[in-house]
Amino acid sequence: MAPPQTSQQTGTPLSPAELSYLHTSLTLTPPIRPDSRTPTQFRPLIAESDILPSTNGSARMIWGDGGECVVGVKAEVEKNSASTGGARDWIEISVEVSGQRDDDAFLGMTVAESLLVPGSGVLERLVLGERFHWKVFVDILLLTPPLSHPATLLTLTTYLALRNTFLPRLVSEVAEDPVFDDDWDNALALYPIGRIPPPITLLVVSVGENIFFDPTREELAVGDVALAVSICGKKVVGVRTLEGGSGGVGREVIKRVIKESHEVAEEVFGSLNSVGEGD
Amino acid sequence: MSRYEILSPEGLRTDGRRWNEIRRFSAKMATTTAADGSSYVEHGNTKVICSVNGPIEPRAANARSSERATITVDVCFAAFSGTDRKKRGKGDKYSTRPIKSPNLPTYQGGGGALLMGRAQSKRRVLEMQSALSRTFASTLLTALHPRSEVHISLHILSQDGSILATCVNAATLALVDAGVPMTDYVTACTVASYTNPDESDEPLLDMNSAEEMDLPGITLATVGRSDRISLLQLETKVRLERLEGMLAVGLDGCGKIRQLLDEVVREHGNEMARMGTL
Repeated sequence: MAPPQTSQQTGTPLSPAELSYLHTSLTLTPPIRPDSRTPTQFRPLIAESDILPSTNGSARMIWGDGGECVVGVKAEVEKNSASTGGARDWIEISVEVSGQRDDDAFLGMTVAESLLVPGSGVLERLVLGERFHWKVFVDILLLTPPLSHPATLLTLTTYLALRNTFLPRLVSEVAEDPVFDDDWDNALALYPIGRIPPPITLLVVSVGENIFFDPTREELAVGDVALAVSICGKKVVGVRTLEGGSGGVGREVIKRVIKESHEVAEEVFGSLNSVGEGD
Repeated sequence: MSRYEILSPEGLRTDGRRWNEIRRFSAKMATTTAADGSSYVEHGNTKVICSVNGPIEPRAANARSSERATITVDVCFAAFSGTDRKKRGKGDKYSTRPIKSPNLPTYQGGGGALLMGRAQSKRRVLEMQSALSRTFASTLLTALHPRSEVHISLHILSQDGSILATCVNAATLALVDAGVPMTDYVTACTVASYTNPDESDEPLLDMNSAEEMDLPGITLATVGRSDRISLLQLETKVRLERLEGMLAVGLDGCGKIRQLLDEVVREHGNEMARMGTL
């Protein structure tokens, strides 16, 4: 199968005329998306959690456009050392993209930066007495890169895996070498319910006056600006523009993006937290 | 003598199976739309995702053959797949080149991948890739697609013994899903040889990682219902007279796996027919 011809500027198989048509239909009030979704609607996806018995927490997500991502979280006991970067090194994130030789540094960065939200209390939960701490490895395996930007897929899967990550309960005293409870039912959640959850990153594209969540590749190509909004609990912890986009937007739009992200994130958290309850 | 009993006097193994029982096997086809064919196989705690692209135009010039399709295989162990997290450095990822000549480095010493150094596990991956590529080259009707490539990509998410066998089964399902012409199912399983305290031997079908660590074992694959072996790997020393018995049990196991795969394929076909996608 020959790859479809892609236009040089956008990486989509659409001609300039088609792109212009798409742009127009997205600027209408109400806007019309090619797949007839509402502006805040996500594409259908399949999510599973707790799939790998050899990890502390794991999740798998498959998107309708073929994007597939598996995240495994493993924890090891490590001795405290003063020489390295301190508590920031206790969580290590690596992203592996199938079929690519070099790990995509940017993707890892997107997740890693938002994961270490200061004051989220995760690092305190990794302390094991005076001399030891947990070292958490978050390995993200992107099996098939989706056609659109993978940031949302990555962070949603990571969120799901981290929410299902459990660490054995410590039974030894603070000054001793760590000894753990054998009973897995007593394990402690890395992100307990009611505490600040791991953050997620949502992709938003704005076209004219309209903003769209979970944009497809085509929608990204015609957008005025593409934003990655990181949300942690009820707070927006980061906004950044992504490459692509033409023209930029006024600050009014950014304000609206942040406001709507809140509402959408609430729904996303709700549905992600219900994953695994069905079975 | 190991700390625990591989086979209890009552004839039960560590996970409660008898000698001729395989672990829980579940498989899904067409798990992703991004590849031409895909599958997800769980065999006990060994879990493998496979995707197949092809026949496609060869991505590398040396994968082009004017007579037949070349089969390239990528095997990738996820960092979290083992008991301990595998630390992976730069340049640890590999991509297969098509195998031109079969003189591969010989590989000695069995045991799970967990105990191996990086160089050894790299060699193990390369060997798995070439074994898979050779096995499927003999079963797929590659002559129908000259100057093209069939690319099989395997991701091992969780390893608990019988990895190569599970890879073969996953690849078979994905190839069926992709519609690559092939003569029959290729199914694989493993057999260990257990020595009773009275020196008599007992073959154990379908090793888990604990058995793989302690016992000599073979991996074998057969084509379809015929008892013809298309892949055989013996990585450890085993008494010659035991091999015959192990092969017999293995062939029987491959037959069982074939039945399971056939059920999965038929169920998937019925599902597709119901959805009207055929």
